[in-house]
Amino acid sequence: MAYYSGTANDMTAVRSALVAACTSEGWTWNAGEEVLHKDTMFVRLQLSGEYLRLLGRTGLTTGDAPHVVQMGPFTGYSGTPLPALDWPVGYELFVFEAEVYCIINYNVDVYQWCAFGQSTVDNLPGSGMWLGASGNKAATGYSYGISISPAGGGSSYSTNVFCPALFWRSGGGTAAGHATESLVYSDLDTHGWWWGTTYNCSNIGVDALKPLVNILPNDWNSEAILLPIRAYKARFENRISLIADLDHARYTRLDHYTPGQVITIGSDRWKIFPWYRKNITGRDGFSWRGNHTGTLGWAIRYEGP
Amino acid sequence: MPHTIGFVDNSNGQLAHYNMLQVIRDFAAANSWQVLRYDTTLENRELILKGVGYSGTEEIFVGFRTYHNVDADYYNLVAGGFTGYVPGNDFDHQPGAALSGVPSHNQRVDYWLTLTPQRIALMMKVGTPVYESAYVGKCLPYARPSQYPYPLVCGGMLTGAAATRFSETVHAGYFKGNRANMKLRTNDGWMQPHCYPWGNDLIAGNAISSTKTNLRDTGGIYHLLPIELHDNSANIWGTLEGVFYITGFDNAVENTLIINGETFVVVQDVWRTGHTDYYALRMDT
Repeated sequence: MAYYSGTANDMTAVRSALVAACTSEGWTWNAGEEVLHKDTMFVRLQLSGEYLRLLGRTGLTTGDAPHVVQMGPFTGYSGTPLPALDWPVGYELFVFEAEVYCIINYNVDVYQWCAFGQSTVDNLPGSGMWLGASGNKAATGYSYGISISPAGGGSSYSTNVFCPALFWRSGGGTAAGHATESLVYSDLDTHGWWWGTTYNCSNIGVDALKPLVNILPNDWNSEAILLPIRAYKARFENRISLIADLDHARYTRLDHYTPGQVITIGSDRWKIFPWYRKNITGRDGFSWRGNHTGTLGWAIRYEGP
Repeated sequence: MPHTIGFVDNSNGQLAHYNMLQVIRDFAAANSWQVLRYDTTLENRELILKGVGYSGTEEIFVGFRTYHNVDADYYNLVAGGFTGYVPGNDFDHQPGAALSGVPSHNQRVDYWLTLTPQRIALMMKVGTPVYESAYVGKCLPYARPSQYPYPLVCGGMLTGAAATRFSETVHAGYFKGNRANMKLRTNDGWMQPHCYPWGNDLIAGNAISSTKTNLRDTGGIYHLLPIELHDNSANIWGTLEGVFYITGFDNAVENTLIINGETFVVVQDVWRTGHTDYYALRMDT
């Protein structure tokens, strides 16, 4: 649909750009409730200091997700601190019919993101609204840093970590203590936004794609293909169901891609980003206390110049 | 490219598996595949075909032959994938031959045969019944034709032309991967690919714990997953064409589903009816 880019001097400006882009593409902004909505998609975009916190909803003021997700000035683990969020940041907005992706870039090679949209999976009893962002819950620093690997993320050592990748975390659950960076309102089994059969059930996450993420890039041609971004909900009796399958974003590995690079596959162009910050030597990320995301990353369909 | 559904038996004076070979020959020839050899004078009859692919300029060599043993009561096909064609060589000695047996029968066999310009896929309902499958031809590669010009798959049910009757309970379908009856031709030669999502304990696990789950429907909708060919360590090559993972949860063989106007038939793995023993075969049009 549309691609926007620019610079922002603070998170207020990032939100303003995001709202402006979305309202240009058919979304409605309710300033009083700070809710952006379209059809059955509702997301509150709330500023809190330098944080932009997103809360999924099923209505303008109803059906809150269990917790927010966010972008902001995370500090991370003291021994391996995260780069400061220095303003201004560059932003890029990818607005499609029912999927929106927002990327900010600062300190040359650091990226944060937020995204929301509606699942294309048929027959969900819920609205299918999904959302995610770099950070989980309303934390201000994540004192144990980043936890991410090709098989998932989220640490059993600490609740104060974040796994800055969409539908990726495999550890922790929906509850605030082990909050996730992504949520879907599937309402399967009347569970609303839950990932599992209990409030604090672990996520499926990227484990369901195993071992494909781990394999990339290919030895045989040195290329990292684009893998689907899907989300599954745990059901009773050890079953899972597909609840989201994104149209305009894909997982990939950045070993041989430069952050921000545009690649062409057939008639489609995709823009490549790390989940947080690329590091080729620690390519598989960290189990905890991390300050980069290795070569784990994603591609967003690019319709810019 | 179309599909055909029907049955063969021994009513016209020849064994059913001979008639099955005849059906493959006639249907492929009627749909742009060139018949390089169809030799019915042999006891083990041979059919070798050449496809032109979606470009119309490719040379894709595949084939089927029969083999049987009256005393052992088996009557099978062999699926073959080749890198060329030599008129003077028999079926098994064609260039780069990869072979995999597909148990059939001398009596009634129901079949679902579907093809595109680059591959032929077959499902047969045999005997008790059990369901036997084959796939010969190209997969859909994750690469440019100049990088990977010949992504040929030869998938059947048996390792080579094994002396195995359909009633044998160990043999299993090529589509589950990581077995000798599934071969993929890479630029380095034939290899034995894994087939995602089989091998993934969350989608195709045995449902005994929260880390060994398997897929079920979503609100009554059965979402198909592409079957990705990889080596489980360092390479992903492509996906099978028109063959998809489908859950067996509240599902049954020969069910049909229509997605975006395309019809798929649910196929089980021989006698198995577990939740991870099914795939969906597209009926090409």
